[in-house]
Amino acid sequence: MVVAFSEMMVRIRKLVTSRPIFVIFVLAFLVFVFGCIPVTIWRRTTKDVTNEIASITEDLQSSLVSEVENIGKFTYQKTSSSTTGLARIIDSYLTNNDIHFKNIQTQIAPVLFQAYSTIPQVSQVLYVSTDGLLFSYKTELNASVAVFANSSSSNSSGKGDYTWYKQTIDQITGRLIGNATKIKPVDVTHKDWFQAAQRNHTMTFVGAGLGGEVNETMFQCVVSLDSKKGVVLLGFPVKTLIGTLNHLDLQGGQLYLWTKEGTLIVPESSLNATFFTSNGSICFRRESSRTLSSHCIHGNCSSSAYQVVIGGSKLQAFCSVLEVSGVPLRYTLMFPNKERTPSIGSASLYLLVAAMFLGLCWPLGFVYFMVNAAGREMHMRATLINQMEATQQAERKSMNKSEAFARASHDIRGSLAGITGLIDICHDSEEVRHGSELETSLKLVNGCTKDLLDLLNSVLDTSKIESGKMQLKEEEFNLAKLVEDVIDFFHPVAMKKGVDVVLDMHDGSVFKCSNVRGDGGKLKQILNNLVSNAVKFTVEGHILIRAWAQRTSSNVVLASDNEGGLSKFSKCIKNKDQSSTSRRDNGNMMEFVFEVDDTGKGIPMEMRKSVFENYVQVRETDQGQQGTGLGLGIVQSLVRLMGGEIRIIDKAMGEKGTCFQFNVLLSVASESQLSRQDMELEEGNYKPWAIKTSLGGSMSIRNMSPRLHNWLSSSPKQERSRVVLLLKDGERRKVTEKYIKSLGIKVTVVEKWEHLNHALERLLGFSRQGSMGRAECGSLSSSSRELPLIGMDGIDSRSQTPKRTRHGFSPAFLLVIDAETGDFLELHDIVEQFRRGLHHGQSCKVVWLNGPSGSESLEGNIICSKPLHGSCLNRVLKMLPEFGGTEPKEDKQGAFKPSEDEFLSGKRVMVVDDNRITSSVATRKLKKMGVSEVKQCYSGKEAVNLVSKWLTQRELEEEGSTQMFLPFDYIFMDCQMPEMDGYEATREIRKMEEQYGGGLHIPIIAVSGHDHGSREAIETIQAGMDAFMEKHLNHDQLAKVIREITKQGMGSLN
Amino acid sequence: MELVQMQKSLQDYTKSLFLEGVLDSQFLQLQQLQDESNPDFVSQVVTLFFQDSDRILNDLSLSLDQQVVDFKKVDPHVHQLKGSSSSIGAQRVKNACVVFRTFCEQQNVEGCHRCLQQVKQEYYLVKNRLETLFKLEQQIVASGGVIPAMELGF
Repeated sequence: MVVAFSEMMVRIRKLVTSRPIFVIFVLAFLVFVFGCIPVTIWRRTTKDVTNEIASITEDLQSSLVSEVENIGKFTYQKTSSSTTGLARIIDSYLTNNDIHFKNIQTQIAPVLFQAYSTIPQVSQVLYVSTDGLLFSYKTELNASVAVFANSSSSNSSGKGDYTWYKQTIDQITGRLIGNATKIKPVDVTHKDWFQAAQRNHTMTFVGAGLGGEVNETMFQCVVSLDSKKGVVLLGFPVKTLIGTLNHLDLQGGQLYLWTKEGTLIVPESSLNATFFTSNGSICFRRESSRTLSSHCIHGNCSSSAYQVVIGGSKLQAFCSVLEVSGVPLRYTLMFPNKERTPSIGSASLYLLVAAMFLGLCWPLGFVYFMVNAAGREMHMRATLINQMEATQQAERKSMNKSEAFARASHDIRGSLAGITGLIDICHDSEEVRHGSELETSLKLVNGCTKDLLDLLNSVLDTSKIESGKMQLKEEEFNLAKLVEDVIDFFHPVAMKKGVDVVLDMHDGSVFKCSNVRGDGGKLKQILNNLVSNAVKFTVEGHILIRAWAQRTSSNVVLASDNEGGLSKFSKCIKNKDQSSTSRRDNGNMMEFVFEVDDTGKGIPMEMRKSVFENYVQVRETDQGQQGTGLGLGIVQSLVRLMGGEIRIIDKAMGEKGTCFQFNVLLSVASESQLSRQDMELEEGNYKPWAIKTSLGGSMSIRNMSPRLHNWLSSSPKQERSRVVLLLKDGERRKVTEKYIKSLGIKVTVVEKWEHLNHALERLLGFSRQGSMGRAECGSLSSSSRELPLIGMDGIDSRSQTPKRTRHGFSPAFLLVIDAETGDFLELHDIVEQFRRGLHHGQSCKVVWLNGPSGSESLEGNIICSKPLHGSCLNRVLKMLPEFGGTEPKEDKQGAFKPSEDEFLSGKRVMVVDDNRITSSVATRKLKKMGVSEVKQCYSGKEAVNLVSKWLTQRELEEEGSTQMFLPFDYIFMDCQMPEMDGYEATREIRKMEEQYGGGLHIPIIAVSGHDHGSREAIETIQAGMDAFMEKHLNHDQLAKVIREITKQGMGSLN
Repeated sequence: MELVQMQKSLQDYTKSLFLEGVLDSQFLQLQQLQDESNPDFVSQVVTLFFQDSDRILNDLSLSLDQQVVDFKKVDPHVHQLKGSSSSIGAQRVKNACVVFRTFCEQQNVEGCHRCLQQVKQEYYLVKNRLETLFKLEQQIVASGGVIPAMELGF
């Protein structure tokens, strides 16, 4: 089982170990798969986008180039032909060879003006004769002016030496208006273009206009006349072209336009660089902060892109030749190459890297945490397994230990019993003289053996409780008697130390339901333990054992000394409620509360909790005290087993010692309610309900159960007897006084024997007065005789209630005197004197506690040697007329010893035992006890046969006889027999009895080698036997058993 | 004089039996049960015990010598012996029987053999002692004396 389990655990562990690795693999795979797909998509998209952008850019650039070329082509496209046409017209006008300015002015000027006004965009129209005569119209500052060179001036020396004039014209007719102003002359005939035109007939160039102050740059077209009589020039402004070009959207590019000669026409805007031409190539010079870098492009670059790097910025250059009105111009388009494609690529790369990073980091982190968690889990699992194993081992060990204990117990007990026996033999032998050293040693050895046995028992109990084998027995017992027994047992021991053990029955509630069912043995054990502890640790003072009963349903906090009046009051109300409801609820269970209150060293606060743990002892207080420290642990376990709880109660400030309080739940025997009266009569108990009285306010000296108030409710008042208490111990005095008072009896407490005389005299005075009053008035009521006793030295009388005698009995005096308080004879004298002084008819009874023997012979004197509490106190009180006034039958100590003839004489008995020897010994024993006839049977079968034979015989013979008589008064049945054992035999017999009918029942007593309370013992009762006895028919035990059977028999008959 | 000595030695002898643990209080009870109406009670019972025990021991030896030991047979015998020895107060025999029974329960053949030897040893011891005791008593009775009553410490 265990092996298989551990194997499974190993497998699980392996699985757990391999899991993270598996997870890592899966995650890596997933990351790979899901990482690859977007990466490829990205790549493709990026490529597409890049390509598209590239093509779009290309288109854009080529369209730009073509547009620029178009502009060049279509601007001034007809200039050359218009010039030629104009030249032809003028030529036709110049008929004569000699040309005079007059001719020009009259014939040519109007033609020129027509051309000027008709040819679009023309800004200058000019005619120059070969000898330098000139006439032109031109646009100057948006106004048309005429510029002419006249030879009519004073200078007539030669050719070309003319005076130049400028004169405004009529805008419509072209006639010269106003004054002509002289301007600076230009030697036109010697200009390059003039000579070139003479030579080549036509000529175009870019240059400044002629004449006037403001000469803008113009495309000029020069055509010489066919007749060689001069040239005609038409000028068009460059500004127009520039304006058109300026309107062009260059998409961030730059346009440079220049002439062949290197004259820059369009320096649009600079790239932070100066532009210049050198050797037919264009150069950019860039002046950065330090270096002077320049980059040149070859002049005749093609229209395809050309990469240029200027000052770190990459540019794409497109070069081409542009012919504008015949003038070849070079231009360059520069586009900033901002690496759009690479930037997209890098962006996607960054994204990819980031995604990869995330994709890797996340699973890695996850795996890390998984591994961590798995590691922790594994560790925990391993620890758990270890712990489980350890627990199992510990449990096994514990079980083994318990078993070993149980096994060893028998042997150890046996040996111890042997030792005790041997010691007793030695003790009784003659060799050991009384008082010798050997005897004391033997006694010591005996004591040690008993201690050892106790120790053994406590250890065994512990192991039993631990293994859960402790079970509660369910038997009927008298609780009050049990408590008293415990206290009586410890009383002498404690008295030796000078510590009094006092039983405080509180309100007598325990007496009311003292017949309970439960485990009396265990309860006794608890009490024994607590009281013995108290005795052990108390050096001086007293030990008080309080006991009371309360309803289980009550949630009332357990009454304790230091509770306030208010809570007491509320409790009172609660209790009243309960008493009214208690009949309704099935209150078979009662809660019994016990308090063991000592005046020892006490337990320090911090130790109070651990004191109930096993093997714990309070070190500070246990000096020299032996013990295992198991006691209170067992006690607690037992108390809990009985459904209660034990705790240590805080004592009032300044009070010494410890107060243990525990409660147990016991079911009150159902017949106790009925048999209560009988029981109390039998026990010598009082009848509390016989006296109904209202008590004065002086009741609550100490805590008083409110229940008491209930049953002492106001009712017919009557005269009561008086009890005089002279007790040595203060605590006992208090308790006893309170208890007697709670019954409605007046108490006079005398603290010292010297005060006894005085107190008695006082009482005597009362009684005389009372009786006199009675005599005088003839009435039974007298309120005047109640004189308070308060204030008298050492005398304390607290119950002062007016009373009247209703019933016939006269009140009696009961003197309870501890003989050890003073000289017995003197005390006796005082009592005698008091007795003599009593009025006739008044009775006086004296109870001597611990009195010397022989004194009981005196009339009215009773000796009580047991401590005055519990049943002893009740017996004493029973002497009062209120409680019947009976004399206690057996005041002396000593177990009830029935005479030998009493319970078995003349009886007929059957002994069933397979062992001849045992049987004959038993027979002999029984005969010795007075049995008249013993029938021996050697097997169960034989016994059954005998009974059946007898029954059939009886049926035949005495039919109709009502008188029942049994064949055997008792059958002693051995349990373990061959063939048919005791149980079976009993069952058979019981069956036959049932068949026979008539309530026939032969008491069968089981005899066995087993312990009382063992499994076998319970089995015997189950089989139908009446009682159980250990072997070796012990006299006392037998007597007890037979008495019980007789009682049961009576009960069943009734 | 001789009688007194004999009585004394009987007493001493009896005491020694108790001290050795051969007998226990049960034997004293037996002696107590003996009176005028039944003067030979103790010897009767003891003789019965001897007879029974001899038989039982014989049976036990036979049972245990078998190839397959039937413990169901052995145990009642031991129980019987335990009961009778306990009845006459032969406590050492009884104790040996207790151990014997535990071995029976465990079905331990070897242990049973050992125990049987132990029981036999104890039995012969008690038999021997008791026979001596009775011989002493008879001597006293023969010489006209009274058997001194043992003091009862139990």
